[in-house]
Amino acid sequence: MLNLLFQSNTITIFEFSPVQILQFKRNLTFKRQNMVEDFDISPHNPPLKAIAGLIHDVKRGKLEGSYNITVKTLDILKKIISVCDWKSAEELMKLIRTQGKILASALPQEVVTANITRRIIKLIREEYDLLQAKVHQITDDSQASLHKLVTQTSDNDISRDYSKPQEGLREALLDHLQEIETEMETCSENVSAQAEEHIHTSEVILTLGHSRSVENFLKRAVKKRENLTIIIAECAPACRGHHLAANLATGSAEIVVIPDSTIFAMMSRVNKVIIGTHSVLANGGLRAACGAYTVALAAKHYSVPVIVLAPMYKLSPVHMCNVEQDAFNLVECAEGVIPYNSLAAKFAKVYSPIFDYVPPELVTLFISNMGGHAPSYVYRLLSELYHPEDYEL
Amino acid sequence: MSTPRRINKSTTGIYLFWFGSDILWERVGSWQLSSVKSLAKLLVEITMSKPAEKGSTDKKTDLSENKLSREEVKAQREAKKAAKLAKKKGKDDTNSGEAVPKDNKSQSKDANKAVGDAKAPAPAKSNKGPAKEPSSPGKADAKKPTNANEKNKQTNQKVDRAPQKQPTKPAQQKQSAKPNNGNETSKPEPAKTEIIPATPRTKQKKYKAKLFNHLNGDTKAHKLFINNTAVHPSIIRVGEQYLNRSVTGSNARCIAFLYAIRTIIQDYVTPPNQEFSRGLEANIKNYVDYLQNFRPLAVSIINAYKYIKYILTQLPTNSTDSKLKENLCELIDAYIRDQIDKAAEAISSTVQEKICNGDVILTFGCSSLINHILEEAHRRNVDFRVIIVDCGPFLEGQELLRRLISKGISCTCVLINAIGFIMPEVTKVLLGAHALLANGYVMARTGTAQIALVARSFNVPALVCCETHKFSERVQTDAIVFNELGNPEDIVKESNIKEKRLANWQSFQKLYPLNLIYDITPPELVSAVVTEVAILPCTSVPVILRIRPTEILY
Repeated sequence: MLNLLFQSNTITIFEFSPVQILQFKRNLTFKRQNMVEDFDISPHNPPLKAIAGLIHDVKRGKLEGSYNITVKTLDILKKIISVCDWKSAEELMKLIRTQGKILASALPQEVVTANITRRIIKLIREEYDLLQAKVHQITDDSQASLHKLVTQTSDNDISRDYSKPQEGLREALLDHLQEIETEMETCSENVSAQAEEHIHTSEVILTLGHSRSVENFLKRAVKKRENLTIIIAECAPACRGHHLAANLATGSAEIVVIPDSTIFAMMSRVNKVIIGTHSVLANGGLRAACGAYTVALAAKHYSVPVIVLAPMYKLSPVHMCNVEQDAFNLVECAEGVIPYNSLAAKFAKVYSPIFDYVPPELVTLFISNMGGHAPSYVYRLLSELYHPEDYEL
Repeated sequence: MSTPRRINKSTTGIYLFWFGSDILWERVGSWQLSSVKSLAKLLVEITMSKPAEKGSTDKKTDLSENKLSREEVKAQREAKKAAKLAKKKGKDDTNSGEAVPKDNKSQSKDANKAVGDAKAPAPAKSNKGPAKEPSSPGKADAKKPTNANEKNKQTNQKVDRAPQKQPTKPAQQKQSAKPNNGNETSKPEPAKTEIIPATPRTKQKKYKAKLFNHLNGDTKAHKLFINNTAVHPSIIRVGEQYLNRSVTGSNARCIAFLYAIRTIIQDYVTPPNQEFSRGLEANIKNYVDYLQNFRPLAVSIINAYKYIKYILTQLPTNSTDSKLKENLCELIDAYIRDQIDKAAEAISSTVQEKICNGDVILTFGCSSLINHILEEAHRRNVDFRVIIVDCGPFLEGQELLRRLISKGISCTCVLINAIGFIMPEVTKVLLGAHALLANGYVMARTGTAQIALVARSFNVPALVCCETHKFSERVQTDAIVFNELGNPEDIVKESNIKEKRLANWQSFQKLYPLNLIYDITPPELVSAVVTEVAILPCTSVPVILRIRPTEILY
């Protein structure tokens, strides 16, 4: 079931001549047009307008943050279920799968879209099974267990027949989607509610950059505990850590903003590292903001626990295939590293990657809206969240 | 907590007069219960002065003047003593605290009326009046009104200003007195110029994270930019270069220092009845102390200074001054030549053996030694490329990048948080150092430890290049005990940030941008240290330190 999604080489190198930048921009627009045309070629599965709009918004930077993207995707998929014309569960699954695939291939970095698609397909399966069970009085064995995972080959090969039309499926699905929506809404709250369980008085906490869940978590901690010191690495070149610092500075905690170079020097005084992540990989590793690897490594050096805040929708059944990270990273505009107009920029290669891979052995604990989990337990959470057949969309 | 409260008490009198009761209420809010008694006393006083508000301040001052005219000049002289006593005493302080500003008023009535209008620049000018007078309380008083007059400033800043008020007074006198030695008559002049530019900066709230209270940033240094005739101009120039960071890097700083000392030696005139070497040593010691105010001395400078002290003690007593000067200058030149230039060449030639075709060398920041090594390797036509890791706030890597690019070496540049991204392709890491400590730890620009850490995790060898003149006797196990703090503004004002959310970080109560200059790399992260003597493990530093006295003669 290993799904090597990151095989497509998405790396782009920015070199610094204005002409090349122009060319790159042109390429980008060209690609986008191409992409839309590509979908037109296959007449059976065109991307819905809403999906195309979502892709466009994300690429343009209008829609940012994995939470917002997830909510939007969920919204669109819900509309597909309620509005689109489908007869059987199989038809619906195919429809959603196609749209999910389009999203995933257009936005390879935003794995949350694929995750939510998987989640909904699993939901369709479950609801269908449940309704079928009601009709035919079959004992419900849809719940996955470790035993079943091990013995999967023998008895689970008989895939169910989803092609029969089923009364009341649409209503049941919409009901259940409501549950997922409320889960999304409360998930940040649920994560931050656990702050007291992990943070004690006069603790020194280090974090990196700016993550929405980390901000809420720390705000809660500042409210509940006294004398906290929060050290924030600024995360150059965008320096989003400054935003976090400004947002937290109104509380009673002491805020220390450090440049990324001071992480190691400060780590000796830190009690806990709390970071957010972009997504969690199937092995429990992280795809987190650039610099997270250094933070985790320094924490390991000083035996400081690393706590990662990862709501369930960030868990993705994807393995990293390439140790050298090339295949799963993105490089952004390097103006922040060296100004374009400097002489050196003409000759030097400059990279400004966005993500860092953090191996699971450097992570101590995940905190999701469901509670705390060890990195070694992620596989189990995945098998509960998604159906094994949907790991590959 | 105890210090601000104490000062609050002593200065509440001033606040009473200068600010409305609302401000006082804020202050009251920040107080602790223990000072309730003094609070009650204050409230009584407020109710006395309350109905008049701003306009009444002038009347008040008149009243106080009347009082003072009775007490006459005696009070002025005693005012200073009273201010000192204010620290010791508790409640009585409020009275003595009042007495101090009253004295000012009597000295310059007009100035204080301008003060009543609450214009910040006005008092600064008005200070010149009393400052020109040679009377000794004049100077001390001159500062008081500037503090009190700043109605425009936020009250928060006031609270933090208050503790500085009394300590700074003697401190500033000391600062100007220490380097002066001669105590010229023109002293008030520089003092005046000192105060005017300095006030806006010192007024700023200086919040420092708890962990770093023991480290002093470059707070007092800017007060030293004066035409201080007692200090040799070459030292002032070097100090300014250190301060505005036009001379950085321990080698460059050491060379600048030695050149300055050389000019001092050349310009030195032995006073009558004094021995040449003794007088010169005392002189140089004063200058070095003065230089320390600009930036803490680098280890290389400390070692060079030790060397100078040593050669001064070794001078023959029977020769003429001019000959001795010549002798000294030669020795200093020899030090620069042997300890810095030749050592760099020796290290470079050693490292050359380690750089071979196809190498990808990663380096951090801007080290003159690494620059030398890489240029030498390029001259030898080795096919290698360089990855320069850069980091804010100084972005020194750009300087190294510029130098290497101009030599035609192919370079890649990344920021320090991308180190995990770039490390897989690296074959060797070359790092410069600020100093090597006796326990084998490497003191270098912040970030070096991180590079070594990540290099170790990718199994890439990390070589530290360091001349032996940077070896230090000190031992240290973390970067916080002893370090240098840079200007916090540098972090906030990095050029590439789009939204400068922290531009006015002083307005936040407990926020501190930390600009730590050095960090400490533990020896287990460093593969080897390359010195001019040999390639050694970090832990062999004490061996070098032990053999050095016999070999290099100091």
